[in-house]
Amino acid sequence: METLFNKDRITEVNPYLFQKIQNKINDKSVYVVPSWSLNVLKLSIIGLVLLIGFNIFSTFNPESNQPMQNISENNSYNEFVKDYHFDALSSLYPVELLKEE
Amino acid sequence: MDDLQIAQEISKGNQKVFEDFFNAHKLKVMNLCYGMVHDREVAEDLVQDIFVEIFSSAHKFQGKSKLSTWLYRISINKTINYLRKEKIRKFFVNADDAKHSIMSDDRADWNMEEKEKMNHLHKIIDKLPSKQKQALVMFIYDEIPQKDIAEIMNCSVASVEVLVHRAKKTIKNKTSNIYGNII
Repeated sequence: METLFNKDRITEVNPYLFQKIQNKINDKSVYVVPSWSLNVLKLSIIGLVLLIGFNIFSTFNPESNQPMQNISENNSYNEFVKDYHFDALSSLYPVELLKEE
Repeated sequence: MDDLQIAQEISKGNQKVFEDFFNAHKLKVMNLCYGMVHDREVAEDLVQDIFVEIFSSAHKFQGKSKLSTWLYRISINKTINYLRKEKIRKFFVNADDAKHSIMSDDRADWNMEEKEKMNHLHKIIDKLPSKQKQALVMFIYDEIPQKDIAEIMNCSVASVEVLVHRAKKTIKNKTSNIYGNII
């Protein structure tokens, strides 16, 4: 086993290996990205994920929909309906007004 | 020049010191990578990445351990990361057998029997638990003393002895069925 391992061991490396390493270092220094920009990018992604999560949570949360359901029970809402303001807002012109003319 | 001074010179961009450091450790790092991946070309690529990493993070070396220990830790981590990625890649592309057969063909001085035995040994080493594999490769391919391996692997010398012993025992058990006492 030892003999095989000894034979398998590498005894010399590519003579241009150091040159290749230097080239990689030079390439890396040309395209270097400042570390603060990566941090800003990470924080932005975290913020975006949190916003999306909050949005999904508030969409499906029954408590957050409660005020919308209660609107129909307000006095001001009922008065608004009684004065035909919804009809005025609709695309159909009120029939009563047409008859009067 | 002590280890801390060497690291400082490298971080300042001193090419001469970096080249001397590379020449002093290139074979050890190459054998460590080769012992782990069993592919000379991949090992060369890993050596490049490791020394680029050393150059760019030499300023982080604090002198708490030997510079060579730090270098081997980075080498082990890079190699393990490569093997993890390779494992994921192989999950999608079944290239395991092809790789081993290609690897054995670039050894002109090896006869067929030796190539077969070595391929078999490589496969057994690959199936060893990660810690056993690391200890065995450093001990056999790099001939690093067990005390230094313990420092690199951040464990006791006794643990390294056990890891190497178990790895050798597994290899002997798995090869004795096929090759008898030759291996």
